[in-house]
Amino acid sequence: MNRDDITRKLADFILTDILNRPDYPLTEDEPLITGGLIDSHSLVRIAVFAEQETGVSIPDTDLTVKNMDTLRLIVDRIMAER
Amino acid sequence: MAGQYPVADHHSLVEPLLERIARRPDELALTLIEDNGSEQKVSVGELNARAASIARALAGEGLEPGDIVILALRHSLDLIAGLWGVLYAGGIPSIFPYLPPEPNVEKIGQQLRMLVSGSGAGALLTLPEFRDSLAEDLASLGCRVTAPQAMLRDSGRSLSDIPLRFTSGEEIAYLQYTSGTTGLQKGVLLSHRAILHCVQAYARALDLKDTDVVVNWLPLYHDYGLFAGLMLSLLTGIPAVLMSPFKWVRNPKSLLWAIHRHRGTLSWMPNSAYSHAVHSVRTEDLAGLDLGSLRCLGSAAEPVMRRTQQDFLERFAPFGFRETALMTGYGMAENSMAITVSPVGRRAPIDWVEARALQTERFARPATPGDPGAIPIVSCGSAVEGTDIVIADDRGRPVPERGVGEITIRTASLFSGYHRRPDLTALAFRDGWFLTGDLGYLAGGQLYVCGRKKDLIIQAGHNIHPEDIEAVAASVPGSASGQVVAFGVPDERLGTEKIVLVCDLRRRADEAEKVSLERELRRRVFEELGVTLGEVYLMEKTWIVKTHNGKITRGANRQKYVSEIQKGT
Repeated sequence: MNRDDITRKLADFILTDILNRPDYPLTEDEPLITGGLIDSHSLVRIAVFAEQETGVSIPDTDLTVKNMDTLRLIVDRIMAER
Repeated sequence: MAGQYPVADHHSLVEPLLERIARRPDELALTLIEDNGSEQKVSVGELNARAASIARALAGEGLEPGDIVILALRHSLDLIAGLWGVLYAGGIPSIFPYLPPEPNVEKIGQQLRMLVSGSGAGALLTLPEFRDSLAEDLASLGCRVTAPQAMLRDSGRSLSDIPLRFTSGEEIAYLQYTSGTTGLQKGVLLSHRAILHCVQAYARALDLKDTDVVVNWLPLYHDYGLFAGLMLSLLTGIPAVLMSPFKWVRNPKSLLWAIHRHRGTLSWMPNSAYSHAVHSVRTEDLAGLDLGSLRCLGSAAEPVMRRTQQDFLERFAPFGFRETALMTGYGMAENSMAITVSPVGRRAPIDWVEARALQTERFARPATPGDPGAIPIVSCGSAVEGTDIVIADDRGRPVPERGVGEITIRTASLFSGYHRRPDLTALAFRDGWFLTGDLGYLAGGQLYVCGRKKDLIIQAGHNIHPEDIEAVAASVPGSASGQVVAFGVPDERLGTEKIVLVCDLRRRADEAEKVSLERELRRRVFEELGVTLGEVYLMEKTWIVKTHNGKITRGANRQKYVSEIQKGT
């Protein structure tokens, strides 16, 4: 999976499984937590999904708003570990 | 036997702990799980030594008995030692929500300033970075700011030096703040007697044993976290294993493994947390896990959903989790904590009733499980000792068995009043009965909670006032100030309530404008209140229902949402 594949998979998971809104125009730089779109519990679900899909495990101490507030930050983090 | 421990014979919360210290100072009191996973074991004697130094330092700084001391710290031994130190010194502790890992120092500073000024607190125990920025400002309000670390220097001295002060039992032991912005927050004053009674009644209801081990992540600023998660064990002599709520949210499997390692028998969490554990733990991470030691996993702080309990059971039964451990209960800060507990050793009963009759006739007519129109309501159990429950109609008259009305209570664990708000205290009681604001019915000695008279939203165990959300939303430019309504709707997928916000724009708006307005509303509500909105609706035509005199009633709008919007999705 390349970067675009991972981005697409995560975006799809967020829109369908978390937001339950497939049509929402999510952008890569949109703040997810501080933008009030998803809560911190959902961030953990995203991390668990990402681990399942990519094999990259993000330690729980790194699941912070600062590190994970946008789709781009999450994908950056995954790419850096691969 | 821990269950027979005569906690309620004492006059002060301090006495049972001091007796433990005198008997067995080396006994393990607490195990604190740090965020990095390491564990710190604390004996009764060590906790006492730290609490004693803090008490001496507070007394040395001029703390008077009855002074309020706010503890704004994190999950740590400092917090627990600080709590007992304040009690030793005769002060009234009040725990502020835990400072997050990435705190907004300025915003939290503002909240603390407002809390100190509203409560009249005499001291604030906090982290050094907050002390430095707040000390000067709060001094003008007569509040000293100290970091507990700075108070631990003289911990070598003996217990006899502590300025211990035993109380009459009726004196206030703890100030529990309910959630909400300053105007809506209420300070619940709890006496030593009320808390001691609460802990004893709860220990009896759980049939507490010497072999019990508490494993708890609920924060100590929450009633269940403080009284079930900490005080129950410290006062009765069973060990407690504590972890931070931030750790739990980010890594829910860490709680399950803590239960496994410590052979935990008792734990509590809100309904939504069961759901979080189901969805946010990978099966690969559970190999070898054994939850067989757990005898009570208590659902606390928000309505129990049958589906969530079932999902949890199906997910974790293969790891030894027992169906009989699914415990429920009903409680609130004004009653110290628990009002009811479901019977130990068996799963909480489920009552299937006709949904329509519940709504329109306010009667819980039994129905066949699974029938169309039948809904399951999970029992919250029966009253703990020293607790009377009456279901009352709007005029305060008791309703018959299975009749739905307001849950009113008269108990030995009730609060002494709202701090500095005698007006609110007077409104909360009718002829000596506390009006909970929750709707429910009694059937076969079990209490079933089935709604709320008040507009409060309860999300993931946090109480949220819709007024706060509406005020923020109305201040967002373009949202048609005043024409907004917020309410909570149970969402089985999340295991909690989702928050719905509706704004009547009463004008045409294209999709791009709506998306940008929705983003702004979500961002502002999160920024101001830390609350994540579930659904936002921006209506071009008038949607919000009002009464004939123009008042927006949240209940009516919630009904309209359920029948018009939710049905269609």
